[in-house]
Amino acid sequence: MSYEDEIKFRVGAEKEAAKILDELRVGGVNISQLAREGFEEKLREALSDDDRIRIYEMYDHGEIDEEVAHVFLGDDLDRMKEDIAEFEDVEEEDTSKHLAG
Amino acid sequence: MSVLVDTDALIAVANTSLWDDVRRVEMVTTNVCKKELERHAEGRDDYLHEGAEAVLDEIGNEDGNIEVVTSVPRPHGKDAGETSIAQEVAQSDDYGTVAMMDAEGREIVRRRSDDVSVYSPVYILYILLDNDIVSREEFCECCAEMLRNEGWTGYMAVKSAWKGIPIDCSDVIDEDLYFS
Repeated sequence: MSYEDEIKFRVGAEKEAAKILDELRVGGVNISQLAREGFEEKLREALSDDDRIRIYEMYDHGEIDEEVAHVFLGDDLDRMKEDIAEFEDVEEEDTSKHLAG
Repeated sequence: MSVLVDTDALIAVANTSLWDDVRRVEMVTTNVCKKELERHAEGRDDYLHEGAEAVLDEIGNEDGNIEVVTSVPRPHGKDAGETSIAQEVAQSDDYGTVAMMDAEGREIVRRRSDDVSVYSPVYILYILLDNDIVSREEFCECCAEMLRNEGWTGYMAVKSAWKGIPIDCSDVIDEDLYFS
């Protein structure tokens, strides 16, 4: 997906509000960027725990791209990678050292 | 060698059916986490209440395996427990292994020290599996309990272990278990 792709939605007063903000600021504001970031934030907020799990499972099965999974899961997707990497070395460890004598 | 464990990770393992076996693992936590446990033990949330009480009983048991260290300076605020764990790791070389429930907490601790392994609490269950104290089936069932109890946080904790170790629990638990 590129920034050439568009999502269109109906607006009323929001359009006027965006225009006013653009005029208030020297150099204007990048409404597209603002909308993109706001949309991403709201998409994440709208997710339930079950949604998040389903999305990760889809990503894990190669059904959705990492870029898309990242829109939904953000930093947690990166944290998941670090957590997996940590467990990858676990078999080399002598875990018996953690047991009480 | 003790595993340094935070409040929510202790509650997570205490609420599983393998708690009796988990008590054989040498663990250490901070006075700040202990304070959080005491607060949860007085609260109304059954899950937090019961888990915290079980952990506090073990801390109070003189034959028990959970030690409490004092954090200086004492962190305050919502994430005080996690902060105290990060601080311990940064201040001392005594800790080689940390178990924390929250993925962001694990990320913070990893950034504070390169010399420490930071896991989800599934690591504590893995110690039991690796030393033949529990079977693969029991380990998998216990992971399923954590999935049911802890939502997305539990999923991250369990899934990362299953993928990393790796271990296949698909014959033991139903995939529907992911969803509440």
